[in-house]
Parts: sequence; C-alpha cells; structure tokens
Amino acid sequence: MIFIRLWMFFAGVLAVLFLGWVGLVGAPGVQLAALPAQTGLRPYTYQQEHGRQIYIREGCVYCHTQQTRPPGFGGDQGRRWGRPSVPGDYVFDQPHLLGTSRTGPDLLNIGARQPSAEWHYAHLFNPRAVVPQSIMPRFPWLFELKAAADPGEPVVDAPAEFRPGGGVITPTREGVDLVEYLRGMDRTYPVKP
Amino acid sequence: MNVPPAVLLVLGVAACGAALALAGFAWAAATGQLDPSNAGALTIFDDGDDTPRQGARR
Amino acid sequence: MTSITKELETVEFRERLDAESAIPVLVFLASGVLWLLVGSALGIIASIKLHAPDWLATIPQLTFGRVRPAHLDVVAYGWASLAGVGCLIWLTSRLCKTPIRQRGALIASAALWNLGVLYGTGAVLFGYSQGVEWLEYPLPAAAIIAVAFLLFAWSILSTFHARQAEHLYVSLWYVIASVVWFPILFVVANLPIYSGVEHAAVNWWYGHNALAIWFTPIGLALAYYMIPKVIGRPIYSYYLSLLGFWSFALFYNWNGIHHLVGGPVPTWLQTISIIASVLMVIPVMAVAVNHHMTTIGHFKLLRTSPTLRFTVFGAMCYTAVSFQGSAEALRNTQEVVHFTHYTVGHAHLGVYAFLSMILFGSMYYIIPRVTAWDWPRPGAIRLHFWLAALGISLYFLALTIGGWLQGMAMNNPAEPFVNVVAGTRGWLILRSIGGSMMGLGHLVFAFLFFEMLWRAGPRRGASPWEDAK
Repeated sequence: MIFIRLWMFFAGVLAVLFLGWVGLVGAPGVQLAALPAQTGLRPYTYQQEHGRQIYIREGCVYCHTQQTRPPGFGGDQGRRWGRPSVPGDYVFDQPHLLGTSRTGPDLLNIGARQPSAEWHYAHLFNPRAVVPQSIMPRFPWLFELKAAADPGEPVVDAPAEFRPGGGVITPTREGVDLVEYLRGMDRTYPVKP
Repeated sequence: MNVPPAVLLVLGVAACGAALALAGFAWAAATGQLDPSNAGALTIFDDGDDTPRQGARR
Repeated sequence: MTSITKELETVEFRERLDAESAIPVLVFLASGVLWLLVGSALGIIASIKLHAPDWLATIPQLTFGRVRPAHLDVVAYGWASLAGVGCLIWLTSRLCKTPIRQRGALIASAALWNLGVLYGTGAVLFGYSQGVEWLEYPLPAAAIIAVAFLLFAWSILSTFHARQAEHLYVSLWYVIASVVWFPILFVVANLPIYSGVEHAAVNWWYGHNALAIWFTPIGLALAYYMIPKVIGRPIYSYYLSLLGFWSFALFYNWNGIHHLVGGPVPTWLQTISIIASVLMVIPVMAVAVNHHMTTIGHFKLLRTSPTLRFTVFGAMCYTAVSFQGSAEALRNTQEVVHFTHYTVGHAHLGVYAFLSMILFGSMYYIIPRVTAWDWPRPGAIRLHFWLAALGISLYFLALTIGGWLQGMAMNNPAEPFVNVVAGTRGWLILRSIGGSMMGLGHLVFAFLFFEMLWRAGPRRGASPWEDAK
C-alpha cells in the first residue's frame, strides 16, 4: 500500500529544502545587501589580502573567531575585545572567517590590541617564547635562517637553539604579509547606525 | 516596533507552508491514504531473512 | 496475491538481490573503511597537537589548522558518505524488491568519489583550502564529488522507478529524499558568489543541512530497517514514522543559523533557527518512540547480535544528541558553549556515536549477506564494539565537561585568557585517549573487514555462533 501520492512526496521534499533556503539564505541575503559598508572600514591592501590567504591556508579560523559579542552575552566586552561587530564590518570578506571556536582569543581587533610587528613575528615563530602556556602551533615555514638581515628587514628575537651556526631569523614574504593582515585587523571605528 | 520586511517574508512563507502541510495531511486522512493499521511495518519481513532466531546471531 | 508477489517473497529471490548488489556495495564499503583509517589518524594527530603543540611542529602539511579540517572532510565525505552509500545501495535494492540498477554508474561513482576526497584532502593539507568549514575542498574536488553523487542518485532513482515492492517502507522515504536533497544543497553552497555575513549564513545553512539531509537520513533509514529486522518485531508505530519524517524534513532545514548565535547576523534569523532547533523535539520523539519501543524487552539480543548492539547504541545516541542539540541551541547555552570544545563533543556524539555506530552495525549485517560468508572472530567484534563505545564515551564526557568549564572561564573577563587555554589541557589529553581507543577499534574492524573480503570466516550457515550454542 502506498499511503501518499508519489508526486506529492517529491513536491514536499523539494518544497522543504526550498523553504529553508528562502528563510536562511535568500531573505537575509536581501536584507544584508541593503546594509551599507561601515565608513571606517577600508578594503584590504594587496599585502593584507595575501596575508589573509596565508591565514586561510594555515587554518587559523579553526581556533580563532573574528566576531565580537554584544554586552550581556559572554565576556567579550569585559575583555575589551571591541564593540559588537555588525554585518557592515565584513563586506570585504570573501570567504568569511567568522569562525566557531575560541581555542585561542578573538582576532577581530587584534591589530588595535597588539600593533607591534615584532611581537607578532616572535609569536608566530614560537608562540611559547611569548606566552609560555600557549598551545598555538609554531609556523617556522613563514621564516628563514639567514647569515645577516637585509637593510630594513625585521629580525625575529629567537633564542640561539633556533639558530644553529648563528645567523638571524627573518620572516619570509608570507610571514610579513600575514603580520600586515593581523596588524590591519581593526574594527574599532564607531558604528554608523 | 520596527519589524524588518525579511521577518514578515519568512513568517509569511512559513505560515503558507504550514497551512499547506495541514491541508495536505487533512486531505490524505480524508481520502484514506494514511494507514493507521501498522501494516506497512510488516513489509520488511517477507523475504525469509528475518526470524528472531536467525537474526539474533547477526 | 499474484504469483509474482509470491516469487518476490522467496529466499532465492532475496539472495539474488543481495548477490547482484555485492560488487558496488563492497567497493563503496571498502573505500569507506580505508578513509575511516585515514580520518582516524588525522583526528588523533590533530587531537594530540592541542596538548603537545611542539609535536611534528615543523611539517607545514601537519599543522593543526590543516589536519583538523582534513580530518573532518575525510570522515564526512570519505568514511561516512562512502560507507553510507554502500549500505544505502543494498537497502534500496531490498526495499524496492528489484536488483540495483546502473551498476556501472555506481562503480564510476565510487572511483570519482575516492578521487574527489583524495584531491580535496590533499589540497587542504597542501594549503589550497577554500577556508570555509565543511566546504574546504577546492571547487574542482567538490565538482568531482557532486558528479559522483549524481551518478549514485541516478542508480538509486532508477532502482526506485523499477521497484516491484508495492509498499514504500519508511527507510525508503529517507533514502529517496536525501538523494534528491543533497546534490542541490552541495552545489548551491559551493557556488563562489557569497561574501561577508551572507557567506556565514550559507556556510551554516550547508553545514547543518549536511547532517540534516544527508548523514542523519542514512542513519535513520538503516536503523528503521535493522532494529525491527534483527529483533523480528515490526516498528512500534508505523503511523508515527510518517509524522516523524515530515516534521524532520520541515524543521531540520531551518536549524543552521544556531551556529551563529550572538554573532553579527540579524537577530530574527538566529531566533528562527533556535525555534526550529527546539521543534526538532517532535521528529526526534517520533523516531525515539519507534526505535526504543521496538527494542524494549529484547535487550538480551544485544549480547548475541553485533548488528543490534551497534545499531541500538547508535539509535540511543541519536535521541541523546538530538535532545542535547535542542538544548544547546538556546541562547543561554550558546552563550557558554558556542566557541568551546563542548561543540566538538556534540558533533562527535552525532557523527560518531549515532551515525558511525549504525554504519558499523549495518555493515555487520550486510556484508555476510552480499558475500555469503560469515564473520570470523566473534571476540574481535566484541573488542571493536567496546573500544568504540568506551572510546566515544570518554571522548564525549571529556569534551562536554571540559568545554563547559572552558566556556564559563571564557565568559569571566577577570580570568586571563591564557588560563582558559591552560585549563583545557587535562580534558584534551583525555580526549586524545578516547580518540585513540576509537582508532584502535577501527583497526580491529578494518582487519575483520578485509578478512571477510579474503573469506577467512566460515561459509554462511556454519557460523561460530551456531557451534557455541
């Protein structure tokens, strides 16, 4: 016994999927498209966009969010991680990197919180040299060991054990651009209503 | 209170969907397409691969 | 009753169906088992790295941020999908009472699917991820998997079209619906047209729906078949399964944005997903009543039937993970657990304790029937069960407790963040132990599986269980 007409079954199956799409993707898409970009937000520079690709490649998003929660919801405001983020803060983000895990802290405003490039280089080279209890991976492949730094080139403050035979450790192009991206992470401008 | 148009859209679509589903259910019940007898549940046992004794070993 | 109907009910006819689906079923299952081993290894590496960050620290391909998504993709698109497809092929042929159609397309599908997972996972490890959770595979890899899925859907729908069964059993509704749903979902979500917050909405519409309309229907279709079949007792209320199916289809599609609660997405959108998540109680109750009321009174069979032992464990975990999910979507709970390891525990309760355990149980049932050989080593099957069951229990408890404490600490601004991180360490070590137990169980299972293909066991009908009696 077939207790339902077959065409109704298929129509129903397609309808529920379509309804869900309308509700969760279509309707918010229409609403969000009407919202302006925040005036304080600048497009990524070429260097920052390249750094962002490194951020994606190394999977930073699996431990760091880029979204700040409103007052009364979690501890973000008390930790001074920045005002609650709004859709207009993300208009240049493709793909989005909102993240779902805070194994490490939120990075939406890391550029404002930690503007020092030297700190970022030392931290990316060996997080435990800067924060002893950190469980963040090291990224030695974003750095190279050289006999001497070029003029103007940043040098990582690394202990001798990482520099067999002497020399200095300097960031590669990828390392420099990743840090430029992180230092550019600053959504502290006031929100346009 | 300022209700965004998208909310109205979603609620409207959901209400239409729910109404449609209810109507479909009522129609299926009225035309005898629902089967409260549990007979459908027996259809998997007609292939000689299902005695409890046999099944208990796998 | 006609003579054709009678012929469809003979043992010989059923054995012919099983034999005709044997090759595609075994190709998919073998691929799934191999990906399970790869996925377990990746998962264990990722897990250990969270408490031993300097282990394998100089190999870029093995950094946590690449291994962790590779693990998810391998178990989702490799293990669960391929093993699920293998089981669904067999199930569809049986429920339609006709040999599986388009077997050539199925073999091509398996080949493409493996290629897609290999390419996609390699791309993630070598730094070519799309950077979107659940959608890391680059577009060419995703396209290969989409084609593989369409070939599989073609075979299932052709078989369905040629069905000789008069009645469409409840498992079949889930199978047919999911092969229609998933390719649409997968293609729409992979379109490279989204950005910003809308992309996040698409991301979680997809991420949750991958569970809702692909993985969960696999598990439910198999449980709806295996539990009554092995016990020899029809499901408790067939009528209720109708309500269960349609409320499942209606509500589950709206769950996705509960992954963005408290984030920069419109509040009404979060609220709708929270409401839908709570409404999931209705289909879950329907399924729970049907599965558990069928099992009740027959628990002693769990000792003798590996199929039932794994499947009932999975069905119980489905009830548990669904109720947990409804409660977890509430704003008060999300405030604590959203960004913590608690969520990871919940995900594993779903994809492992529910889905994977039902897949194991179904494979213990299906493989002897398609090969006409029986499982060797009942003791090894028990070992597999206890390693998997105790492993996932330890895994889940460690991350649930540890994740909750992590969330409470994170929400207290007076607690320095580094203390929040340090506080998770002990729980993460326990998680690695649980995960390693699961991995060991998979080695035992893979060994048994390939022994079956090698026909190491007794010929069917002369099983060690008979002798033991």
